[in-house]
Amino acid sequence: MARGGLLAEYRRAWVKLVRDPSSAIGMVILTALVLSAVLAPVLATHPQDVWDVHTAERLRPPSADHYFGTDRLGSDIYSRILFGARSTIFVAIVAIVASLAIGVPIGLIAGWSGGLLGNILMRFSDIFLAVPQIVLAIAIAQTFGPSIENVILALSATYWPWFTRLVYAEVRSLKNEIFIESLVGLGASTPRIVVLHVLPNVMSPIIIRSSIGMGFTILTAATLSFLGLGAQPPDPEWGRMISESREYLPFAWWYAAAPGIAIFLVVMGFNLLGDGLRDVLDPRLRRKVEK
Amino acid sequence: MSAPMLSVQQVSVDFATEDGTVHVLDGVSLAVGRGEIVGLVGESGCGKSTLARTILGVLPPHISTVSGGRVVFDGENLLDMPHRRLARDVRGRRITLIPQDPYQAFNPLFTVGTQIMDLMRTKSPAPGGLSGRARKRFDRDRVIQVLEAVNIPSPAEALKKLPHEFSGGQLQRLMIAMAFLPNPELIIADEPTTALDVTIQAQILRLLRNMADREGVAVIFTTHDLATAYQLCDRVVVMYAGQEMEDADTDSFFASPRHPYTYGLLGSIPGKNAEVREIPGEMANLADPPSGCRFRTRCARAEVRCAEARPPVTECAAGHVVRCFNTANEQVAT
Amino acid sequence: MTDNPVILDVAGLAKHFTLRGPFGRVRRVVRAIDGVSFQVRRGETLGIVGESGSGKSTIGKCLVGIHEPDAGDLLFNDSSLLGLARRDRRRVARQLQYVYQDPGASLDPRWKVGRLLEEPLVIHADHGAAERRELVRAILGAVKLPDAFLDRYPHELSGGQQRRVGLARILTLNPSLIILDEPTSGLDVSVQAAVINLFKEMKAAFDLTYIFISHDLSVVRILCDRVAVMYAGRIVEIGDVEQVFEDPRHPYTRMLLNAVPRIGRPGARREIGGAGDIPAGEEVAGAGCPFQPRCAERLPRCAVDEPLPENLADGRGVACHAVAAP
Repeated sequence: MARGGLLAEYRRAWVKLVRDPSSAIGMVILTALVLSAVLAPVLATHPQDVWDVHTAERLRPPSADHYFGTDRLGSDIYSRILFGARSTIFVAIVAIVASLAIGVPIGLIAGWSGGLLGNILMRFSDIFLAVPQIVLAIAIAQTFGPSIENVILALSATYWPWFTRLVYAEVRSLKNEIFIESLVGLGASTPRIVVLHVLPNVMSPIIIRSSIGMGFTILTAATLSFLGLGAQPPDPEWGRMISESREYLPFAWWYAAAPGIAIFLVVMGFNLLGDGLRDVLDPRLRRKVEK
Repeated sequence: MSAPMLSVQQVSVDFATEDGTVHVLDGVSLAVGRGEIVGLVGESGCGKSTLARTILGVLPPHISTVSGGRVVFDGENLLDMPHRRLARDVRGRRITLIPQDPYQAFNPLFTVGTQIMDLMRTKSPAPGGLSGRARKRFDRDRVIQVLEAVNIPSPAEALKKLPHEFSGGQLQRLMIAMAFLPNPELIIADEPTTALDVTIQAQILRLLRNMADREGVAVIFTTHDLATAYQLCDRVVVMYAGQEMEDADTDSFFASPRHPYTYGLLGSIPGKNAEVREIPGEMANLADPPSGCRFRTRCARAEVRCAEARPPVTECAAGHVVRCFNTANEQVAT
Repeated sequence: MTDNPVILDVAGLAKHFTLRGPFGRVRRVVRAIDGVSFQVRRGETLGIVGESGSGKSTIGKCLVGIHEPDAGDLLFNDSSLLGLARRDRRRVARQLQYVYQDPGASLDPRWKVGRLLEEPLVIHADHGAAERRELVRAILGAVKLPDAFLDRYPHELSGGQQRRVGLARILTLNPSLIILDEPTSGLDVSVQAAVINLFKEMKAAFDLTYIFISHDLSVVRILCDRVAVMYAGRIVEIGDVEQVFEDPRHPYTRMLLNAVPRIGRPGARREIGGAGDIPAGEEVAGAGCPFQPRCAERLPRCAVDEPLPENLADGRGVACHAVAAP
């Protein structure tokens, strides 16, 4: 039996989430990611290697001293991966928060007002959807120079329309719900209805989308860094590290493997969590289960 | 009544849900004679649709189990019959269905004619030896003949139309025609008039009655409206919380109802000038039904024994059975 | 009750819907309601009955401003509801409330009952917080629900309790006229009986006037004082419930009443009601009586001349040439 409102619902969702094996794995991975980012200086065996260069020890295979081996400049890859988690989380969170901040209000306004304004807003968001992320990012990097900040700019500029579309569709269907219609009849103001009634009812899909979006954003950010459009050396960015390792791939497999596995795990973690969230939060699926 | 054509004997069905096992049907029995229209009356959640599905063998898979009883149709227990045979020989051929919502019963992309002819090809017996074109011509003639019988104007034209070109009432006529086409012995009509306006409902009921009489087909008609059952049916079975509470031929049922739940239902029908009386409480929770009689928590005449033991199904008059200790109940004025 | 002041005066109300094809081409104009006039007096219950597509719900929606009528006037307490500024409309809206088919569905699933009941008062901002809470408790008591329910969510209540809360929410605004739109459709009879009794209780307790829109004639009969029968967007007969139900004059009213399944006296011959087979109701555009293609009593002039409602000697109005003709 369902019980409680938004908070209680999320508490219930949390319990289900922990019990679901795949989303539990997702959460373990993501917890590990956050811990590595926060505790990087403590966990790192060679914290100074983010900047330091030891040419004598370059391209050493994994060993007790260097868990994941060393790179072309002799820096400890394990330590660099830990510090790389920081920029990964930073990029994902900032890009998603920015996308939410742009996409959700536009979706709410477009969905609620409909008509000409709604159409204009949706077509406007379509323009951004139509431009491939990589192409836009290259353009932005060309214009403003390659940097992490510009990667975030490119990611936000291309990801927010997904939230707009999602919120738009949810609001359109909510608008036909009787409890929303009756508020109009009671004389409630539009901001009141939209903020206090519509928004809480579209929170769940937004959360699901955000989780999946984080994984997607990380992957794209890595791609951009791989192309040299993102983080600049010596930043320990995962995508960059793979890019650097290309020349050494035939004889230094660990160089590419460590950041590659890190990216793979984190993206999978967000996707598993997103799927798990969808199972517990998405009312459409839930209704099916109950029937 | 001689040996009934369909007899449902002590059928129990359980559904597995998040709240545990729900006993949706609990020892239901009823019988349908040849050419008889039996009204299965009850409120939502009483199990009437589940019973209809049990007979048709289309209970939702995985979550439902038939935990007891027999459904004997023409001497054979349908619950034991292999699914393939049930689907091929019985369902849609000897037992057909008129669904509640005709809009959902048709595929919107194909013409009504395509869908009906398809049904004829797979379900309707053709006279021996007919095949190919001849078979098709024979089927078509029969379809047109039945469409005429259900008052579809210009049937040949109607077959070329798409479902959305018909009104709700007309679609329901088509559904009735389709139910009669395979020459079935039993039709299960699952609230076929609930979605319709009263004037259309009256036409559909009359049509169903006439067709059933003409073709000698038995009908199980589920409804939540006692007045409809009164007008249409030969027998009325009232169900509550997965059990039949009262089962009698229509005249005896309405002349001297015996079960307190029946009084409750009759009392809550808006009459000429009487007040309506609601039945107190809510439908029993089937995951955890009350001990003894399932209706006792809402019954004005509940006694101690009603909680202690399950009331027996007693025949209080010829062909009039009631599931209550107090079979000498007097009818209350309605 | 006939001496009570008129609270609502509907005069010549019309609402047309234009169905447009691709590129905004007008395909068809549907006259959902046309020339509808009636009055509602304080304290009475007016039933509006008709089959689907008769326009009965459109009337309700015009009254509360969901639809803007194309013609006619709506006078509520002698002042027009049309052409009001948004703010004035809102002030009037407090007095005139619309209850959805299932009042329980009008509750936001994520809000607690207490907050839901308070909301209309917050929207209209005319009480202090303490006063509001006091009022909410009083209303909850009036619909016979315990205070403990204030902290519950709608889905923790039964269907009947949700319905009470939904109704209570509207009553907090102290409306004088409530429009009930098909509140009993789709309900089981025992639940329906509870709903009918709830409406009766509320009417007595809060001194309400109802417009009760329904397709169910038997419910209208026991709940309403007067009834308007609609067909194809027009009122074909309007009068006291007893008059109309005991002695229907319009051929459509007769057909409709005849079709309602009814349980007869013991021993009576059971038969299915309704006149013989009626041609499917194709609504004809243009002149003439809209019911004339289905009518058993049509006269030659019915095909060319649309009958207007005329008052009979007993005070009811009927729009039919066959009835009006001496």
